[in-house]
Amino acid sequence: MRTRLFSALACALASLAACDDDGGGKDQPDAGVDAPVTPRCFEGTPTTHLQLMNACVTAEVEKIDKRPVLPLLNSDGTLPIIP
Amino acid sequence: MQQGERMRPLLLLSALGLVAIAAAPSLAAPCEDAPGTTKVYMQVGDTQEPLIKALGRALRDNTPNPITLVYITSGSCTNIDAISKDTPITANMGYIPSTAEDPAWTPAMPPIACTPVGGKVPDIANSNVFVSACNLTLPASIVELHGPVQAYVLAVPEANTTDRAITFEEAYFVFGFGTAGGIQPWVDEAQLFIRTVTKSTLLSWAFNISVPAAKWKGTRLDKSSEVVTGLGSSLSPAKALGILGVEVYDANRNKLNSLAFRARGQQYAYFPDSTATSTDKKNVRDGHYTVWSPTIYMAKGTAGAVTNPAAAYVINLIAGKTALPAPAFNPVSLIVGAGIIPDCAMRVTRDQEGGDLRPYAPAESCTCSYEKLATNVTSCQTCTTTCATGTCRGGFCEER
Repeated sequence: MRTRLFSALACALASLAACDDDGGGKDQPDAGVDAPVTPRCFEGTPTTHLQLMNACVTAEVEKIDKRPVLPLLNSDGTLPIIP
Repeated sequence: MQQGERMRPLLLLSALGLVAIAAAPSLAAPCEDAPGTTKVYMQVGDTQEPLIKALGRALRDNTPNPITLVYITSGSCTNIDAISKDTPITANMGYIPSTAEDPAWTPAMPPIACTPVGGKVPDIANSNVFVSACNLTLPASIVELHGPVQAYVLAVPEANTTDRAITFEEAYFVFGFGTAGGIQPWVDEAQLFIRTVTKSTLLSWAFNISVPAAKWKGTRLDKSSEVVTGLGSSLSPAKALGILGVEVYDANRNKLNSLAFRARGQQYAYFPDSTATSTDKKNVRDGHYTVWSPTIYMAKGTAGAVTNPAAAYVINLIAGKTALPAPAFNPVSLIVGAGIIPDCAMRVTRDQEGGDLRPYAPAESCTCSYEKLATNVTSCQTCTTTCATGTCRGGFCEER
Protein backbone atom coordinates (compact mmCIF):
# COMPACT_ATOMS: atom_id res chain seq x y z
CA MET A 1 0.00 0.00 0.00
CA ARG A 2 2.70 2.46 1.05
CA THR A 3 4.75 1.73 -2.08
CA ARG A 4 1.76 2.37 -4.30
CA LEU A 5 1.00 5.63 -2.49
CA PHE A 6 4.49 6.96 -2.98
CA SER A 7 4.40 5.83 -6.58
CA ALA A 8 1.23 7.81 -7.18
CA LEU A 9 2.58 10.90 -5.47
CA ALA A 10 5.90 10.68 -7.28
CA CYS A 11 4.03 10.34 -10.56
CA ALA A 12 2.00 13.42 -9.78
CA LEU A 13 5.10 15.43 -8.97
CA ALA A 14 7.15 14.22 -11.90
CA SER A 15 4.72 14.69 -14.70
CA LEU A 16 2.33 17.24 -13.21
CA ALA A 17 -1.11 16.91 -14.76
CA ALA A 18 -0.04 14.21 -17.14
CA CYS A 19 -0.44 11.47 -14.54
CA ASP A 20 -3.45 9.35 -15.21
CA ASP A 21 -5.55 8.73 -12.18
CA ASP A 22 -5.37 5.00 -11.82
CA GLY A 23 -8.62 5.03 -9.88
CA GLY A 24 -9.69 2.72 -7.11
CA GLY A 25 -8.49 5.26 -4.55
CA LYS A 26 -9.60 5.44 -0.98
CA ASP A 27 -12.53 7.60 -1.89
CA GLN A 28 -13.30 6.06 -5.25
CA PRO A 29 -15.28 2.95 -6.22
CA ASP A 30 -13.46 -0.37 -6.60
CA ALA A 31 -12.43 -0.73 -10.24
CA GLY A 32 -12.22 -4.52 -10.07
CA VAL A 33 -10.34 -7.41 -8.50
CA ASP A 34 -7.15 -6.82 -10.45
CA ALA A 35 -7.22 -3.03 -10.31
CA PRO A 36 -4.55 -1.42 -8.16
CA VAL A 37 -5.89 0.17 -4.99
CA THR A 38 -4.11 3.47 -4.61
CA PRO A 39 -5.19 5.89 -1.89
CA ARG A 40 -5.18 9.47 -3.10
CA CYS A 41 -4.19 10.87 0.26
CA PHE A 42 -1.37 10.09 2.67
CA GLU A 43 -2.67 8.32 5.74
CA GLY A 44 0.35 8.37 8.05
CA THR A 45 2.11 11.20 9.87
CA PRO A 46 3.33 13.45 7.06
CA THR A 47 7.00 14.40 7.09
CA THR A 48 7.75 15.49 3.51
CA HIS A 49 6.39 18.22 1.26
CA LEU A 50 4.37 15.77 -0.83
CA GLN A 51 3.00 13.99 2.20
CA LEU A 52 1.99 17.25 3.90
CA MET A 53 0.12 18.51 0.82
CA ASN A 54 -1.55 15.16 0.27
CA ALA A 55 -2.27 14.15 3.86
CA CYS A 56 -5.78 12.78 4.37
CA VAL A 57 -8.22 15.32 5.75
CA THR A 58 -11.39 15.04 7.79
CA ALA A 59 -14.80 15.18 6.18
CA GLU A 60 -15.19 18.78 7.29
CA VAL A 61 -12.43 19.89 4.92
CA GLU A 62 -13.56 20.60 1.36
CA LYS A 63 -11.29 19.20 -1.35
CA ILE A 64 -11.88 19.69 -5.05
CA ASP A 65 -10.85 17.19 -7.72
CA LYS A 66 -10.11 19.10 -10.91
CA ARG A 67 -8.68 17.58 -14.09
CA PRO A 68 -8.45 20.55 -16.47
CA VAL A 69 -7.93 20.64 -20.22
CA LEU A 70 -4.48 22.08 -20.97
CA PRO A 71 -4.27 22.84 -24.71
CA LEU A 72 -0.58 23.82 -24.71
CA LEU A 73 0.73 20.92 -22.67
CA ASN A 74 3.62 19.18 -24.43
CA SER A 75 2.90 15.73 -25.81
CA ASP A 76 5.17 14.19 -23.20
CA GLY A 77 3.17 15.82 -20.43
CA THR A 78 5.72 18.49 -19.58
CA LEU A 79 5.05 22.22 -19.49
CA PRO A 80 6.29 24.38 -22.38
CA ILE A 81 8.74 27.17 -21.57
CA ILE A 82 7.10 30.55 -21.04
CA PRO A 83 7.86 32.83 -24.01
CA MET B 1 0.30 78.53 13.88
CA GLN B 2 -0.03 76.15 16.81
CA GLN B 3 0.19 72.38 16.25
CA GLY B 4 -3.47 71.94 17.18
CA GLU B 5 -4.49 74.50 14.59
CA ARG B 6 -2.39 72.80 11.94
CA MET B 7 -3.93 69.43 12.73
CA ARG B 8 -7.58 70.51 12.84
CA PRO B 9 -8.22 70.57 9.08
CA LEU B 10 -6.49 67.20 8.74
CA LEU B 11 -8.57 65.59 11.45
CA LEU B 12 -11.73 66.88 9.81
CA LEU B 13 -10.75 65.57 6.39
CA SER B 14 -9.56 62.30 7.91
CA ALA B 15 -12.92 61.81 9.57
CA LEU B 16 -14.55 62.27 6.20
CA GLY B 17 -12.30 59.61 4.74
CA LEU B 18 -10.88 61.99 2.19
CA VAL B 19 -7.22 61.94 3.09
CA ALA B 20 -4.90 59.33 1.66
CA ILE B 21 -1.53 58.95 3.33
CA ALA B 22 0.42 60.39 0.47
CA ALA B 23 -2.10 63.00 -0.57
CA ALA B 24 -2.09 66.73 -0.04
CA PRO B 25 1.47 67.13 1.29
CA SER B 26 0.97 70.85 1.75
CA LEU B 27 -1.66 70.16 4.42
CA ALA B 28 0.32 67.64 6.43
CA ALA B 29 2.12 68.60 9.62
CA PRO B 30 5.64 67.31 10.29
CA CYS B 31 5.66 63.70 11.48
CA GLU B 32 8.07 64.77 14.23
CA ASP B 33 5.23 66.85 15.67
CA ALA B 34 2.85 63.89 15.88
CA PRO B 35 1.72 63.10 19.42
CA GLY B 36 3.84 60.82 21.55
CA THR B 37 7.44 61.04 22.66
CA THR B 38 8.53 57.68 21.19
CA LYS B 39 8.00 57.24 17.47
CA VAL B 40 8.83 54.30 15.23
CA TYR B 41 8.94 54.89 11.48
CA MET B 42 7.86 51.95 9.32
CA GLN B 43 7.82 51.17 5.61
CA VAL B 44 5.50 48.19 5.08
CA GLY B 45 3.72 46.23 2.39
CA ASP B 46 0.10 47.20 1.88
CA THR B 47 -1.11 43.75 2.92
CA GLN B 48 0.18 44.54 6.42
CA GLU B 49 -1.61 47.88 6.76
CA PRO B 50 -4.58 46.39 8.67
CA LEU B 51 -2.17 44.98 11.28
CA ILE B 52 -0.15 48.19 11.50
CA LYS B 53 -3.31 50.24 11.98
CA ALA B 54 -4.62 47.97 14.74
CA LEU B 55 -1.21 47.72 16.38
CA GLY B 56 -0.68 51.46 16.00
CA ARG B 57 -3.86 52.17 17.91
CA ALA B 58 -3.02 49.66 20.63
CA LEU B 59 0.51 51.02 21.00
CA ARG B 60 -0.69 54.61 21.22
CA ASP B 61 -2.96 53.50 24.09
CA ASN B 62 -0.36 51.16 25.63
CA THR B 63 0.23 52.71 29.05
CA PRO B 64 3.22 50.46 29.93
CA ASN B 65 5.12 51.58 26.80
CA PRO B 66 3.28 54.04 24.53
CA ILE B 67 4.67 54.24 20.98
CA THR B 68 3.51 56.18 17.94
CA LEU B 69 3.77 54.19 14.71
CA VAL B 70 4.38 56.40 11.69
CA TYR B 71 4.14 54.39 8.48
CA ILE B 72 3.96 54.34 4.72
CA THR B 73 3.06 51.44 2.42
CA SER B 74 5.22 50.33 -0.47
CA GLY B 75 6.25 47.16 -2.30
CA SER B 76 8.15 44.48 -0.40
CA CYS B 77 11.26 44.64 -2.59
CA THR B 78 11.27 48.44 -2.43
CA ASN B 79 11.11 48.23 1.36
CA ILE B 80 14.03 45.79 1.59
CA ASP B 81 16.09 48.01 -0.67
CA ALA B 82 15.19 51.12 1.34
CA ILE B 83 16.35 49.82 4.70
CA SER B 84 19.43 48.23 3.15
CA LYS B 85 20.54 51.53 1.61
CA ASP B 86 19.22 53.95 4.25
CA THR B 87 16.92 55.49 1.65
CA PRO B 88 14.92 58.27 3.31
CA ILE B 89 11.13 58.40 2.97
CA THR B 90 10.08 61.72 1.48
CA ALA B 91 6.41 61.07 0.63
CA ASN B 92 3.73 61.74 3.21
CA MET B 93 3.36 59.12 5.93
CA GLY B 94 0.55 58.45 8.42
CA TYR B 95 0.06 57.81 12.10
CA ILE B 96 -2.79 56.51 14.24
CA PRO B 97 -4.57 58.71 16.80
CA SER B 98 -4.89 57.47 20.36
CA THR B 99 -8.32 56.80 21.84
CA ALA B 100 -8.06 60.02 23.82
CA GLU B 101 -7.31 62.02 20.68
CA ASP B 102 -10.00 60.46 18.49
CA PRO B 103 -12.28 57.90 20.18
CA ALA B 104 -14.25 57.40 16.94
CA TRP B 105 -11.24 56.31 14.86
CA THR B 106 -11.23 52.70 13.64
CA PRO B 107 -8.74 50.76 11.48
CA ALA B 108 -11.22 51.11 8.62
CA MET B 109 -10.34 54.80 8.53
CA PRO B 110 -7.22 56.34 7.05
CA PRO B 111 -4.35 57.38 9.30
CA ILE B 112 -3.53 61.01 9.94
CA ALA B 113 -1.16 62.25 7.25
CA CYS B 114 2.16 63.80 8.16
CA THR B 115 5.28 64.92 6.32
CA PRO B 116 8.68 63.40 7.14
CA VAL B 117 10.43 66.75 6.89
CA GLY B 118 13.85 66.35 5.28
CA GLY B 119 13.20 62.65 4.70
CA LYS B 120 13.17 59.84 7.25
CA VAL B 121 14.99 56.51 7.04
CA PRO B 122 12.60 53.81 8.30
CA ASP B 123 13.33 52.20 11.67
CA ILE B 124 11.51 49.07 10.49
CA ALA B 125 10.95 47.75 6.99
CA ASN B 126 8.63 44.91 6.12
CA SER B 127 8.61 42.42 3.26
CA ASN B 128 5.98 39.78 2.76
CA VAL B 129 8.19 37.52 0.75
CA PHE B 130 11.61 36.09 1.55
CA VAL B 131 14.39 38.62 0.90
CA SER B 132 15.90 36.25 -1.67
CA ALA B 133 12.67 36.44 -3.70
CA CYS B 134 13.60 40.03 -4.53
CA ASN B 135 17.13 39.02 -5.63
CA LEU B 136 18.47 41.07 -2.73
CA THR B 137 20.66 40.32 0.27
CA LEU B 138 20.64 42.24 3.51
CA PRO B 139 23.79 43.96 4.79
CA ALA B 140 25.22 42.68 8.07
CA SER B 141 23.90 45.78 9.83
CA ILE B 142 20.28 44.73 9.27
CA VAL B 143 18.53 42.17 11.48
CA GLU B 144 15.77 40.04 9.92
CA LEU B 145 12.97 38.51 11.98
CA HIS B 146 10.02 36.43 10.77
CA GLY B 147 6.52 37.47 11.78
CA PRO B 148 3.04 36.05 11.08
CA VAL B 149 2.25 34.12 7.92
CA GLN B 150 0.65 35.91 4.99
CA ALA B 151 -1.40 33.77 2.59
CA TYR B 152 -2.40 34.78 -0.92
CA VAL B 153 -5.41 33.83 -3.03
CA LEU B 154 -6.67 33.87 -6.58
CA ALA B 155 -10.07 35.56 -6.55
CA VAL B 156 -12.97 35.89 -8.99
CA PRO B 157 -16.04 38.13 -8.92
CA GLU B 158 -18.88 36.85 -6.79
CA ALA B 159 -20.97 36.48 -9.95
CA ASN B 160 -18.68 33.64 -11.01
CA THR B 161 -20.02 30.66 -9.09
CA THR B 162 -18.96 28.16 -11.76
CA ASP B 163 -15.23 28.14 -11.18
CA ARG B 164 -14.25 26.99 -7.70
CA ALA B 165 -10.67 25.78 -8.20
CA ILE B 166 -7.55 26.32 -10.25
CA THR B 167 -4.53 24.04 -10.61
CA PHE B 168 -0.83 24.86 -10.72
CA GLU B 169 -0.80 23.97 -14.40
CA GLU B 170 -3.82 26.16 -15.24
CA ALA B 171 -2.30 29.13 -13.39
CA TYR B 172 1.01 28.53 -15.23
CA PHE B 173 -0.72 28.82 -18.59
CA VAL B 174 -3.12 31.63 -17.60
CA PHE B 175 -0.46 33.99 -16.25
CA GLY B 176 2.48 32.76 -18.31
CA PHE B 177 0.79 32.62 -21.72
CA GLY B 178 -2.33 34.75 -21.31
CA THR B 179 -4.84 34.41 -24.13
CA ALA B 180 -2.59 31.95 -25.97
CA GLY B 181 -2.73 29.57 -23.01
CA GLY B 182 -6.31 28.71 -23.86
CA ILE B 183 -7.35 28.00 -20.27
CA GLN B 184 -11.07 28.62 -20.11
CA PRO B 185 -12.56 30.90 -18.98
CA TRP B 186 -9.44 32.96 -18.21
CA VAL B 187 -8.40 33.88 -21.75
CA ASP B 188 -8.84 37.68 -21.68
CA GLU B 189 -5.60 39.32 -20.52
CA ALA B 190 -7.43 42.58 -19.77
CA GLN B 191 -9.40 40.64 -17.14
CA LEU B 192 -6.32 39.36 -15.31
CA PHE B 193 -5.79 41.77 -12.42
CA ILE B 194 -2.23 41.40 -11.15
CA ARG B 195 0.32 43.50 -9.27
CA THR B 196 3.59 45.20 -10.09
CA VAL B 197 6.84 43.24 -9.85
CA THR B 198 7.93 44.52 -6.43
CA LYS B 199 4.72 43.46 -4.69
CA SER B 200 4.70 40.41 -2.44
CA THR B 201 1.34 39.23 -3.76
CA LEU B 202 2.74 38.85 -7.27
CA LEU B 203 6.12 37.53 -6.13
CA SER B 204 4.67 34.86 -3.89
CA TRP B 205 2.32 33.64 -6.61
CA ALA B 206 5.18 33.84 -9.15
CA PHE B 207 7.30 31.43 -7.14
CA ASN B 208 4.35 29.14 -6.43
CA ILE B 209 3.31 28.75 -10.09
CA SER B 210 6.79 29.00 -11.64
CA VAL B 211 5.97 32.07 -13.76
CA PRO B 212 8.71 34.73 -13.42
CA ALA B 213 7.28 37.99 -12.06
CA ALA B 214 8.32 40.03 -15.08
CA LYS B 215 6.61 37.66 -17.52
CA TRP B 216 3.10 37.71 -16.08
CA LYS B 217 0.25 38.50 -18.44
CA GLY B 218 -2.45 40.85 -17.19
CA THR B 219 -3.17 44.35 -15.96
CA ARG B 220 -0.52 45.40 -13.45
CA LEU B 221 -1.94 47.40 -10.55
CA ASP B 222 -0.19 49.23 -7.74
CA LYS B 223 -2.66 48.59 -4.91
CA SER B 224 -4.62 45.60 -3.65
CA SER B 225 -7.67 47.83 -3.56
CA GLU B 226 -7.35 48.33 -7.32
CA VAL B 227 -7.48 44.57 -7.84
CA VAL B 228 -10.64 44.41 -5.72
CA THR B 229 -12.17 47.22 -7.75
CA GLY B 230 -11.14 45.60 -11.05
CA LEU B 231 -12.74 42.32 -10.12
CA GLY B 232 -15.80 43.84 -8.51
CA SER B 233 -16.58 46.14 -11.41
CA SER B 234 -15.62 43.79 -14.24
CA LEU B 235 -18.02 43.76 -17.17
CA SER B 236 -16.85 40.21 -17.94
CA PRO B 237 -17.05 38.63 -14.50
CA ALA B 238 -16.86 35.09 -15.85
CA LYS B 239 -13.40 35.83 -17.29
CA ALA B 240 -12.02 37.96 -14.46
CA LEU B 241 -9.28 36.66 -12.17
CA GLY B 242 -7.07 38.53 -9.69
CA ILE B 243 -4.41 38.01 -7.04
CA LEU B 244 -4.86 39.24 -3.48
CA GLY B 245 -3.59 38.86 0.06
CA VAL B 246 -6.02 36.59 1.88
CA GLU B 247 -6.87 39.28 4.42
CA VAL B 248 -7.88 41.63 1.61
CA TYR B 249 -10.07 38.88 0.15
CA ASP B 250 -11.57 38.16 3.59
CA ALA B 251 -12.62 41.79 3.88
CA ASN B 252 -14.31 41.61 0.47
CA ARG B 253 -16.04 38.23 0.60
CA ASN B 254 -19.33 39.95 -0.13
CA LYS B 255 -18.15 40.77 -3.66
CA LEU B 256 -15.48 38.17 -4.44
CA ASN B 257 -14.97 34.39 -4.31
CA SER B 258 -11.59 32.75 -3.77
CA LEU B 259 -10.48 29.72 -5.75
CA ALA B 260 -9.18 26.53 -4.22
CA PHE B 261 -5.62 25.85 -5.42
CA ARG B 262 -4.04 22.53 -6.33
CA ALA B 263 -0.26 22.85 -6.09
CA ARG B 264 2.25 20.97 -8.20
CA GLY B 265 2.21 17.34 -7.13
CA GLN B 266 -0.97 17.70 -5.12
CA GLN B 267 -3.99 15.45 -5.64
CA TYR B 268 -6.77 17.89 -4.76
CA ALA B 269 -7.34 21.63 -4.67
CA TYR B 270 -7.90 23.26 -1.29
CA PHE B 271 -9.05 26.65 -0.05
CA PRO B 272 -6.91 28.48 2.54
CA ASP B 273 -9.71 27.71 4.99
CA SER B 274 -11.42 24.37 5.61
CA THR B 275 -14.17 25.39 3.21
CA ALA B 276 -14.98 28.30 0.93
CA THR B 277 -16.99 29.95 3.68
CA SER B 278 -14.98 29.21 6.82
CA THR B 279 -12.28 31.45 8.29
CA ASP B 280 -9.97 29.03 10.11
CA LYS B 281 -6.99 29.08 7.67
CA LYS B 282 -6.64 25.40 8.55
CA ASN B 283 -5.22 24.41 5.18
CA VAL B 284 -2.53 27.09 5.37
CA ARG B 285 -1.60 26.01 8.85
CA ASP B 286 -1.30 22.28 8.07
CA GLY B 287 0.23 22.41 4.56
CA HIS B 288 -2.73 21.70 2.27
CA TYR B 289 -2.73 25.28 0.93
CA THR B 290 0.75 26.22 -0.18
CA VAL B 291 0.62 29.85 -1.33
CA TRP B 292 1.94 31.77 1.64
CA SER B 293 5.03 33.54 2.93
CA PRO B 294 6.26 34.52 6.35
CA THR B 295 6.16 38.26 6.89
CA ILE B 296 9.70 39.59 7.27
CA TYR B 297 10.57 42.50 9.55
CA MET B 298 13.94 44.22 9.26
CA ALA B 299 15.73 46.79 11.40
CA LYS B 300 19.23 47.94 12.20
CA GLY B 301 21.02 45.70 14.69
CA THR B 302 23.74 43.20 15.36
CA ALA B 303 23.84 39.48 16.15
CA GLY B 304 20.09 39.12 15.75
CA ALA B 305 19.30 41.94 18.18
CA VAL B 306 17.57 45.12 17.02
CA THR B 307 19.41 48.24 18.17
CA ASN B 308 16.49 50.68 18.57
CA PRO B 309 14.61 49.48 21.69
CA ALA B 310 11.26 50.85 20.51
CA ALA B 311 11.65 49.15 17.13
CA ALA B 312 12.66 45.93 18.92
CA TYR B 313 9.53 46.16 21.08
CA VAL B 314 7.29 46.54 18.02
CA ILE B 315 8.93 43.67 16.12
CA ASN B 316 8.81 41.38 19.15
CA LEU B 317 5.08 42.00 19.50
CA ILE B 318 4.51 41.20 15.82
CA ALA B 319 6.78 38.15 15.83
CA GLY B 320 5.17 36.66 18.94
CA LYS B 321 8.27 37.05 21.06
CA THR B 322 8.47 38.34 24.61
CA ALA B 323 8.19 42.14 24.71
CA LEU B 324 8.91 43.97 27.96
CA PRO B 325 7.20 45.72 29.59
CA ALA B 326 4.28 43.43 28.85
CA PRO B 327 1.76 45.24 26.67
CA ALA B 328 -1.70 46.13 27.89
CA PHE B 329 -3.24 44.27 24.93
CA ASN B 330 -3.12 40.82 23.32
CA PRO B 331 -0.93 41.06 20.18
CA VAL B 332 -2.12 37.65 18.93
CA SER B 333 -5.65 38.99 18.88
CA LEU B 334 -4.53 41.89 16.68
CA ILE B 335 -2.67 39.56 14.31
CA VAL B 336 -5.68 37.27 13.92
CA GLY B 337 -7.95 40.26 13.51
CA ALA B 338 -5.77 41.48 10.66
CA GLY B 339 -6.30 38.20 8.80
CA ILE B 340 -2.77 36.84 9.10
CA ILE B 341 -1.61 33.76 10.98
CA PRO B 342 0.65 33.91 14.03
CA ASP B 343 3.70 31.67 13.82
CA CYS B 344 2.57 29.84 16.96
CA ALA B 345 -0.49 28.51 15.11
CA MET B 346 1.49 27.07 12.18
CA ARG B 347 2.32 23.36 11.79
CA VAL B 348 4.40 23.73 8.62
CA THR B 349 7.21 26.03 7.59
CA ARG B 350 9.47 26.64 4.59
CA ASP B 351 12.90 28.14 3.95
CA GLN B 352 12.45 29.93 0.65
CA GLU B 353 9.71 31.51 -1.44
CA GLY B 354 7.43 28.79 -2.79
CA GLY B 355 9.82 26.18 -1.40
CA ASP B 356 9.03 22.77 -0.01
CA LEU B 357 7.05 22.61 3.20
CA ARG B 358 8.24 20.72 6.25
CA PRO B 359 6.63 19.98 9.62
CA TYR B 360 6.96 22.71 12.22
CA ALA B 361 6.36 22.70 15.96
CA PRO B 362 6.42 26.15 17.59
CA ALA B 363 7.88 26.27 21.07
CA GLU B 364 4.64 27.63 22.51
CA SER B 365 1.57 26.60 20.54
CA CYS B 366 -1.39 28.97 20.21
CA THR B 367 -3.59 26.85 17.92
CA CYS B 368 -6.50 26.77 20.39
CA SER B 369 -6.41 30.53 20.94
CA TYR B 370 -6.08 31.09 17.21
CA GLU B 371 -9.10 28.95 16.35
CA LYS B 372 -11.19 30.62 19.03
CA LEU B 373 -10.20 34.11 17.84
CA ALA B 374 -10.57 33.33 14.13
CA THR B 375 -13.77 31.29 14.22
CA ASN B 376 -15.18 31.77 17.73
CA VAL B 377 -15.12 27.97 18.03
CA THR B 378 -12.48 25.54 19.26
CA SER B 379 -12.58 21.90 20.27
CA CYS B 380 -9.78 22.50 22.78
CA GLN B 381 -10.38 22.02 26.46
CA THR B 382 -10.58 25.17 28.54
CA CYS B 383 -8.38 25.55 31.62
CA THR B 384 -7.42 27.93 34.37
CA THR B 385 -4.02 26.66 35.54
CA THR B 386 -3.20 23.10 34.47
CA CYS B 387 -4.19 20.53 31.83
CA ALA B 388 -4.23 16.73 31.81
CA THR B 389 -2.21 16.93 28.60
CA GLY B 390 -0.47 19.94 27.11
CA THR B 391 0.00 23.38 28.56
CA CYS B 392 -2.61 25.77 29.90
CA ARG B 393 -2.12 29.01 27.96
CA GLY B 394 -4.60 31.76 27.28
CA GLY B 395 -7.39 29.75 28.91
CA PHE B 396 -6.96 26.68 26.67
CA CYS B 397 -5.04 23.40 26.87
CA GLU B 398 -2.54 23.97 24.08
CA GLU B 399 -0.50 21.15 22.57
CA ARG B 400 2.76 22.62 23.94
